Amino acid sequence: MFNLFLHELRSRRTAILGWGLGIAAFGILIIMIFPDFAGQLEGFNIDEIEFYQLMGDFGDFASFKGFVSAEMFTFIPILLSIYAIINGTGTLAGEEDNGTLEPLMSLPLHRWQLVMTKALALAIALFLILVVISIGEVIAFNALPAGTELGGVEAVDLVVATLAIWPLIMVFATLSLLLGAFMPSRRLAATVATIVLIATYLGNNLTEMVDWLETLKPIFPFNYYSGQSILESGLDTGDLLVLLGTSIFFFVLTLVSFQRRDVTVGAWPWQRAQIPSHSEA
Amino acid sequence: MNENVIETKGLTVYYGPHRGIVDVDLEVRKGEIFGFLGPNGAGKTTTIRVLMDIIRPNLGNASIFGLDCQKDGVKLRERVGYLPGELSLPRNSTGRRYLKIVDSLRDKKADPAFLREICARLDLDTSRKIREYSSGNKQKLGLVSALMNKADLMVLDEPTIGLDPLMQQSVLELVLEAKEEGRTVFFCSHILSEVQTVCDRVGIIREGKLIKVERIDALTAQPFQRLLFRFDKMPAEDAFSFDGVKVLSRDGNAITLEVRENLPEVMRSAANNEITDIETQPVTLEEVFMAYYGRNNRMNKRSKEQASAVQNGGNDV
Repeated sequence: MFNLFLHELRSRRTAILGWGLGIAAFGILIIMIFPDFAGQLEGFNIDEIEFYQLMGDFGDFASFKGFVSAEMFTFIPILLSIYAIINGTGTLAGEEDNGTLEPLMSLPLHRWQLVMTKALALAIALFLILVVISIGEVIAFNALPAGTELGGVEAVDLVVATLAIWPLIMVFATLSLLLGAFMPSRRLAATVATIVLIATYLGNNLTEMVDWLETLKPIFPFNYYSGQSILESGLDTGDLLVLLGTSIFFFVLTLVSFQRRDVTVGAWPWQRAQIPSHSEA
Repeated sequence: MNENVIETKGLTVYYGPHRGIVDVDLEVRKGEIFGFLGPNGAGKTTTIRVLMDIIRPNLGNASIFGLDCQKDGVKLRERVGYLPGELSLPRNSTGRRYLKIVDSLRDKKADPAFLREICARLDLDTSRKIREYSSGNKQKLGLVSALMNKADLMVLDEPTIGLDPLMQQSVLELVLEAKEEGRTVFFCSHILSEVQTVCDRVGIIREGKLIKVERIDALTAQPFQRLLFRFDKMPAEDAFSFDGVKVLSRDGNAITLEVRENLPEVMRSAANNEITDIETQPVTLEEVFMAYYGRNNRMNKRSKEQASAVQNGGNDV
């Protein structure tokens, strides 16, 4: 089992480095340009820009906290959620579509063991991407010119705010696993997961502008992650537990769904359940 | 020899409104090579996937080594080597690493010396990445993973597809060696000549239904002789007008006869007509198979006659 886990992790090696270094470069850029922007942004009210209204509340945009929250901790969760969907739907549904799941399933392995191993590798890969990004941020943070006004933010705060993205993207990773284990094809699973990502992201941010969305806020995963508030007041254990609990819930549903799945068939569960009345069986 | 390794009873699979297999009762005995024949879409792969618990039947049940394929899947798969018909392997792994993963999931049951031997016999370089493999090499890797743990049952779906004739021969030798060691092989192939070469019995599946299970020798046995004569000069039309003798074809200077009676008279008549050559033509599995499928090809007429004779004379085993 450990060899399978290593294989799963190894198969994500390129993605870990690619996504990790790519997003780390983005983070490094944001951190490094802050000193140049800080002076120019003095007194600037980002909330006046409609685009940013859709992305939440960033406080004082001219401050380091506000700037990295708006520019970094808004986009990183979105980018990694996209990766989580790509890889989450690729893990069961994608392998079923391309045929690599069938030889694995012929081995003496419980289905739950297969799902568990693959999900664990996916979870660790997502975490490692965040670690790579964190390393980049710390390097950039320490390279900031002396005297840069950081509002009390330390490198460790950036690391915590970055690693805290993991429970959020795990929600989308496990949702993607679930959809892949339930729906007929990877394409459909990825489409639905992407719609959920966009709807919950915009839905969460629009609650500031649309009153009736306020009641729906608790169901939006993005409601439970805010880089801004983590930089200001640290981790909210309640938020983390909600996100982890949701991930575990989706994972358990994935196990149940995959246990019952007719692999290679590409059909909804209920389509296989009944024999046509004209059959002779 | 009477112990059944594979047993299915009333196995039925539907894909929504589409038929997979219907009421398949199958028995594969310990130590035999069982050929499973049928064209694309007949239900071969569906049957195999139920056996491997990749899909679940709507009705009926399947067991391997007396263990239920669904409830005891893990336990029975410890004793099964499987080569899928539509083989896909992880592209970024090397062959060696893939085999290591497979072996580790089987509790490292493969004998390293045997593994090296079959890789050598199949001329497989396991150090390369799978994405660099040709389709033939991928097939070899799939075969090695199915064969390497010397499983009590090997389920091989189109094992020689994509291989050159020399490698096809090597695979058939490995299959026959498995049988010699008392292991059982469930062998699906479109190449009927190789099925005829290695299999003890065959099952023919048509439109999801198992329509015939028979020993190969019984299936290809014939209660008559089929003889092809060549002459310098074509004999008269009535040269072979004897009871129990039918002219199957007259083509150039050759005549093909189906001889059920009066063989000495036929031979005398042939000798009197300046015969230059004689051939006996045994029924091939391909002809029997084609006859069951009633395909309208050049062999059709002859096939139907042969199969009709076989069906009339043979009994299900």
